[in-house]
Amino acid sequence: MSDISKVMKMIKDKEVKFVDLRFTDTKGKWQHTAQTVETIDESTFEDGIMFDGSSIAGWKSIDKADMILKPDPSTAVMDPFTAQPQLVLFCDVIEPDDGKPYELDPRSTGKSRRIFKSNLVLVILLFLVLKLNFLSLMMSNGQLIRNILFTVLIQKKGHITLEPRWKVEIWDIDQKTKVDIFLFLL
Amino acid sequence: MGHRPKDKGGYFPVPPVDSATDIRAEMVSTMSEMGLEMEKHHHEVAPSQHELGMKFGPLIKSADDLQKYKYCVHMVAQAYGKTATFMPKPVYNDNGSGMHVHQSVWKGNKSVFAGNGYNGLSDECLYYIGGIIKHAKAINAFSNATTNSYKRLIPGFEAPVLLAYSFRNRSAACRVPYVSSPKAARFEVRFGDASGNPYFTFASMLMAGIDGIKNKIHPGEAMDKDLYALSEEELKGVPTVCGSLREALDSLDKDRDFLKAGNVFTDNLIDSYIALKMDEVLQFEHTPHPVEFKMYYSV
Repeated sequence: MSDISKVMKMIKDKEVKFVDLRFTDTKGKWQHTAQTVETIDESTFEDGIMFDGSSIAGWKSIDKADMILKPDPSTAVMDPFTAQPQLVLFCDVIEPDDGKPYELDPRSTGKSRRIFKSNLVLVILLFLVLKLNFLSLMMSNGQLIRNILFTVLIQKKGHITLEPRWKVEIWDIDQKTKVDIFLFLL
Repeated sequence: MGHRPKDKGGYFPVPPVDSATDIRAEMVSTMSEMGLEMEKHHHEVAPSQHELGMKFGPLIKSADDLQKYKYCVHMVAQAYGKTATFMPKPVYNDNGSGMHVHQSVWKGNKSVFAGNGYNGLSDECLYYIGGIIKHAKAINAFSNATTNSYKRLIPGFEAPVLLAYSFRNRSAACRVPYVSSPKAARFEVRFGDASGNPYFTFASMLMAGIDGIKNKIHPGEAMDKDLYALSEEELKGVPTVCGSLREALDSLDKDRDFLKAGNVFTDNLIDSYIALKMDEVLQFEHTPHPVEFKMYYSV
């Protein structure tokens, strides 16, 4: 069974309602746009879906905004977080003019095929093992990390969110004086 | 009274001192659901700092997986009423968060990095490391892509600042881990973090390594001692990573030919990346900083 047939079967078996098309912008942030399942069929993997590339920082100007998201069927995976069944697909970004990969699309740059084609030194596959650290700022129970000069809190309507609205607390050396500065981004 | 980690004591007592076992386990199992091959999770040194390890894979899959990884961490943290960040240095004077990238190159089923040289490595592997060290400052523009990245890359805090390679020495920017089989022959780039674009980060490392192999760039002798304990005199000859995003973008601008081999990166891509990131540098440099109020308010 081809990758595309597998995706179509998965859509049926998992009773998928939305297909979320994802790509990565220049800075590395994962971006997404959701399609209702009715708009997806086998031809989607050939033709792709049009979107406005001008709103992605550093990409197209508004007069040449149209771009194509072409889903990679081998990447299909269910989103474990959505209330309604949603399938996630990684996409390559394609120029509508010539059907070639968009020059600034990071996933195309990282395509090992492109790299290996251009470097015939060795027939190679690069394997990467990743170890990452992340900090979870335990704020729900009011515990703030000690020994810090300033703390960044991201809060909205009493809930903790990932939205870019910052409150920066500045502590004086003796920790008696506290100044709050609100920085509103956007 | 309560069971809390002591200063720098997060690594790694059992619960209830470690209160985040369940949240990490849920992150790992959700990642597995999304097709990642996960290997482990544990608390890290700093308060509220955690590590989740994933298995190796080819370049593009690893970059895709990293996007899923960050998505799962953000989403599960949010579900628990918490929030997680991959900022490399969110807390002053405490350990930063990095991304260690282990690399090996394969020809068919055989690792090109296995050989009879230093710690069971091949000449190709040494040249690859030589390429990484030579181009490290340009790689920094991708692997350490934020102004905040350079608050982690400072001496101390186990941060790998010195561009040297070493067997088992965790203070070197490139570490050659001890392995028991030739298949596992690899080395680890330790200076990167997860704040940038993984596709560019991995591709730039690979291009630097390939440049090293093509031009037989030897990385010199390994430094098998604690690099933090070196004297001023000894330190003089050891190159370092960049000290700021500005320096990294400048280095990328000047050292870009290795990335352009075979049009993998293009001038247009590199120029627009630098322009986009320079905006961040300027915004950061032009904004009055909270710590400036502490230092200068009463001048």
